[in-house]
Amino acid sequence: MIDLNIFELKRKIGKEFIFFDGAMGTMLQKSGLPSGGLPEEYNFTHPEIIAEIHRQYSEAGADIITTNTFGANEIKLEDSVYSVEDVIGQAVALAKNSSGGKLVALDIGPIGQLIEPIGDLSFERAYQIFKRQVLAGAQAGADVILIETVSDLHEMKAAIFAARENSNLPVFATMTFQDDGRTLTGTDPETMAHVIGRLGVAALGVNCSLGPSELLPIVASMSKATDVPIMVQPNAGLPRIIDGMTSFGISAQDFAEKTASLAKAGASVLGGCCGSTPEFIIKVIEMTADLSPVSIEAIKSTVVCSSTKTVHIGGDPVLIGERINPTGKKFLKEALKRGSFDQIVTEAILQREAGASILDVNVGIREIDEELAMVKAIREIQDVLDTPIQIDSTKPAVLEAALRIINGKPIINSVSGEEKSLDSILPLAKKYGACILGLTLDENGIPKTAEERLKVAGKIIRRALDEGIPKEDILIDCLVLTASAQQKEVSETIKAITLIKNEYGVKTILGISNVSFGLPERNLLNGTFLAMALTAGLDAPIVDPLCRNIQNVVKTFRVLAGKDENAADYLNSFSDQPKTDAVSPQASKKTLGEIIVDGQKGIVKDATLEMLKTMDAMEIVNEHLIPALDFVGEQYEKRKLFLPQLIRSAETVKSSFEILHEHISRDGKPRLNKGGIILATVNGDVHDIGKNIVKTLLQNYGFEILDLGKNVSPQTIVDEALKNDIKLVGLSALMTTTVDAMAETIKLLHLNHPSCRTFVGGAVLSPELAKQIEADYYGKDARAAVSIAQSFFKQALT
Amino acid sequence: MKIDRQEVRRYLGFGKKTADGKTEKAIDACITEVKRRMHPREIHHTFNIIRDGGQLRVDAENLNLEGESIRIHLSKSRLCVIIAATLGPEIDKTIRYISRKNLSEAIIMDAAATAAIEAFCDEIESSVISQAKENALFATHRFSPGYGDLPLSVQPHILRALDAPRKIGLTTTEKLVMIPRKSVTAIIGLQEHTASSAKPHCKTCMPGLQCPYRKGDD
Repeated sequence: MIDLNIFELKRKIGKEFIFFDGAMGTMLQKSGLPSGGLPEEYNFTHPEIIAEIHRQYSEAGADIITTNTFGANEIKLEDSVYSVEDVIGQAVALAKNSSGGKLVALDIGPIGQLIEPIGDLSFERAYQIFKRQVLAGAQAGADVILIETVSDLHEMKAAIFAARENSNLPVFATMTFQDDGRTLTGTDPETMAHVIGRLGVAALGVNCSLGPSELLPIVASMSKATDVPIMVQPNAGLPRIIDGMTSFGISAQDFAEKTASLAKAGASVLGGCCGSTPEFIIKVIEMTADLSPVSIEAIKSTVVCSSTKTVHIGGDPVLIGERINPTGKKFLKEALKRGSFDQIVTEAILQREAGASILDVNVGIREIDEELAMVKAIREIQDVLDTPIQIDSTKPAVLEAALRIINGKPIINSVSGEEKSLDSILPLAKKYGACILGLTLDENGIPKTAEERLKVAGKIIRRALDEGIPKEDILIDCLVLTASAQQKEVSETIKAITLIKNEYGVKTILGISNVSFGLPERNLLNGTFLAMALTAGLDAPIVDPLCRNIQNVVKTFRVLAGKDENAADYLNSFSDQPKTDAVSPQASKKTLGEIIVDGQKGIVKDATLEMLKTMDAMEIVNEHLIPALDFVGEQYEKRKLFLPQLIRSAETVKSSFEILHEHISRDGKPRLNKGGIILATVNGDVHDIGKNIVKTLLQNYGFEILDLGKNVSPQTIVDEALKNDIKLVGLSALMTTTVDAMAETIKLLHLNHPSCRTFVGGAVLSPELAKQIEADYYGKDARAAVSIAQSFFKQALT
Repeated sequence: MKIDRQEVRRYLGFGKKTADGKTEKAIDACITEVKRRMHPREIHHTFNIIRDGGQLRVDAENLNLEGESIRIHLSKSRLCVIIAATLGPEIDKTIRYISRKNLSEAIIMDAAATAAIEAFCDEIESSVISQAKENALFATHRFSPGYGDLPLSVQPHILRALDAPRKIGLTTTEKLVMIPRKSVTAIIGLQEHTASSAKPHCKTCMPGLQCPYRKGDD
């Protein structure tokens, strides 16, 4: 057999089988080396054993030999005498010298810590860790890069970006799936294939996990989603522990037969993982000698993804939620200026629950750093939701920052037919594997007729295809003008949808709400226009999913267009109207105070509105809300009420406050604000329920909270306090190990913002410890935090 | 796995009292949701205990067990079983999601998830006990890093010895916070004579600590 060189590899991949080697760990164990330490150090302490393993795999017929560098990252090697560069340099040299001219793959395994929001490692830090390995590997002369055994899609993206941006080496990317068909962090094979398949890798697939028989459905699912060659490195069956030693169930013959079935299902890069030996590779090569890779043809489908979910566009209408956009929304603008992202997350949740499958995210206001705000908004949304994202910005730098940290496959909103736009946006979409939303306008503005818009769409599609963006990743928005100003052209938009779909076979998007601008009862117009557009073939309307009329149009359209079979969803939606505790006769007799004590969030808004008819907002706060809260608080201290009840009452007050705030701002008066406070969980700590409890209670008492979230660096806290002129900062830590970060934050605050005071809380704190770290106040619970804030601001006034 | 409502109430501060109707209903709903969102996975392994002068360690690289409390706990043991268990990251995300919508419910769900990981560890512990019995050995109670003076800094070494990041997706951060959040590591001693039946008690754990889950006297 002729050894494969790198040019041959690139030519052959996907067309002929490529063979990787088998397990390293198993072979080390067989050589009698102990497990549990750092196997990467064996490159130095037992080079002859490592070389022998490489030689055996080479002789077995593997085309590519994998270096012994699975854990050679700066985190795992922290306590080692060897640096990342030492280990990788030595390991690549060993592989090259002992494999008789075979190609050498730099092996990269997971970091061993998890990226935000699951863990506390930042995406950028993960990228830097991988970058160091890639640079060392390329320098040492590795021929390809193998990123394997990864569970987190986000980590995989960081590793692939690091490999592609810092070397020219082909990248092989495999993830590990569990018996439930998902990775440990919840990614399914289809989503992985869609996301990773667009990132320019030579092959993608699955390794470790399970035995070859169990991998069959995973390979089948991947081959439906991507045309990229599929790689498998199964374990030698399922692991069993016998006398404390892990062993794997199946024979080399059995393994090879099952691997051949994987080849028939679409895998063309083959090898082994835990439990496999050179014998396994010999058998796999024998068993596939008479086969050739099946030419896999993926189903061309327009998809967007989060890390755990794939949304298909086409068929049933897919709603894109438009509400995360400060244009025309004063409360969002104000929140963004304050640096608060709570409202954005709330909007995201509300839209998701109302049926949005994708969320448009726009944070473009002049007064803020849009790039920072976009990244923060996406992080916060990804922290709680698995809804795919449409990034909405006119600035390429903002789009790129978002594209790097999105965990999934987003839509870029937008590119147009203008040269400048095509030149700057299309390369981004290609590089990051995103869908694009193409607006049918160019240097001459929005064309009047459908035919002219078709032309612009054609230009965008051609240019995108030239850039290497597949057709299914292109969505066209035919743009609607307002019926109040350009009534005749509304129907041109509808016509253009059908024209563009027929001519180019691409999916269509359309922002609906613009049509009604300047007319009363906008929801009525929006609803009818949506029905017209859907009938014309619109795939993904951008709408306000909370609008009842929009919901009804979609519901009824699905019945009438035959998408909702037997009207099952329609019937269902009318059979179980939610029975909330909405104004029942008895409830309306309750006083506001009683409603708060009972924690009845469902009726508090109506009760507040009722009271506003006869009473001033401040009076309601002082005479009703605060006394009720005080009462609940006292009951809590007497252990007559408990935390869930206290918080239920607090959230009821919060709902009442929202009504009062609206009322007050309608009167043009300033918001109720008894003082601004920053709250944060300190660097390295990821617990935030306690902090959120404190926040809710402080808000109840009228304090304006700037919540910086969890894992917040001391510098960020100082910067925000100075920027927003905040004089009281509350810090939370739950671990003994993160109290240091608390002390550091306090020190930095004292140094740079001497007039600022701090209060601290959290399970590990005590009054003594608080004093020791020089906190100004110690709060044993949320009630104590309220007292601290009240007396602090009282003193500040006097 | 059975999630004990009584435990959920205790974590919420109700002690042995029954909660109000609304809270009780929410506890039910949260227990159901936790069961739906959790992916319990565990790995455990038996190690030899090595006593090197004053040092206590097990036969895995860099796995020293420091402190007086673990020394007492394992004083009669030749072997120990080290356990790592987790409910997986989905439950964390669910709690974060709920806390944005309904903080009161999130608090209850957090308590239900804590009760779930403890129940999961109870199951693992019983299987360790019955396996020990087959070998004519007795098992001590489970003892976790952070109890008494066994430092949290042992956590990464335990996880590495068990290959926990790869096998069950359990990791620690630089500051030794376990991720996913609802996870436990623990050490069970195996010995020839009956182990003391006294469970490690909250009262003996870090005096002065304001632990919200401290078992009270009520």
